[in-house]
Amino acid sequence: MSFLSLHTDRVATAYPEPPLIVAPDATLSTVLLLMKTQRAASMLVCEDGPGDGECRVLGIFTERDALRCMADGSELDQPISAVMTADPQTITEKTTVGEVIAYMSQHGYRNLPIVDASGAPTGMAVVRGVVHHLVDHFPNTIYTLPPDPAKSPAEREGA
Amino acid sequence: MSQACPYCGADVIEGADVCDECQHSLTDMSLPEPTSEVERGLLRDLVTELSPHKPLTVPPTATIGETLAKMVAESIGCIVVADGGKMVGIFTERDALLRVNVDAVKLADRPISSVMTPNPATLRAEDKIALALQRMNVGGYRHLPILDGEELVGVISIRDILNYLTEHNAAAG
Repeated sequence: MSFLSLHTDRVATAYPEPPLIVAPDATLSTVLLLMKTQRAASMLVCEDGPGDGECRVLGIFTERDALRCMADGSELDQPISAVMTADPQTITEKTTVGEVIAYMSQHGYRNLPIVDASGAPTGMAVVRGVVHHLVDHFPNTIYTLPPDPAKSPAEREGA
Repeated sequence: MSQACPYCGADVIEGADVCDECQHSLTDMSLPEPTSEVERGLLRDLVTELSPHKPLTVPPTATIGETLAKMVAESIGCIVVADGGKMVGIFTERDALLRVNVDAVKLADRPISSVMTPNPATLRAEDKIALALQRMNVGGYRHLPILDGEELVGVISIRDILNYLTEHNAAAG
């Protein structure tokens, strides 16, 4: 497998997670506690669309936003919509892993919501899944690691 | 039919699982060679080539409140807790979410040492980027401090590795 397949592999191969969704009027404390129990790096803030079962992404609340709220001692009863990052960058099922890496590298995003044609969230591309995909991608790289190259110098030093 | 052991040079029987001379496993010889320039780079380039960021540090006695404020002001996701030049722990956004969370105001005056991750996983300056990638994957880390001997030389993040990959992939066309 060559690195170039990152340009054809779709985001689905980079272990996207199911989207975790809260309503815009959920309180900051609810969301913080939910992120802790779900071990989530981000939550999507969504509202129902006009049609049946439709859903629209209003914003994202990430660990970074959470850190800012904790540092500021933000009011815990306020709605999450007041402290979320509005209109986040989104991607689609067709986005390639290479494009995901480029977004994350250039903009520092660690979470990219995946949306369908109607704008409804179907998943979340996370940096951890990308790393997992890379390790899958370079099996030789990872196989040939530790045991030998790392150990031998340590033994020589001790002798 | 024989061939040379890649580790000690002794003749080995083709298909043998171990070299009779040095006992080295030969089973991984069937793995393909790294195929791309990027993959060779990951195995060749040292973590120090990711230009590790000079780590921001706080003493263990720093309060949680001032540490959080410093991380926000400096736009960093990871801060090193050092006692007299020696790293004793790290504190990341993740630690903040898991251990401070809704109690940020209540815990603001407590020392950072009470919520840091003590003895974090580290890399050595002579480690390859591939090892950093593997550590991050297995441990779920987004930041790894790099030590040269006992001395902390910097911290690398997942983003540094993604930057490396985009740069090298672009260079390879």
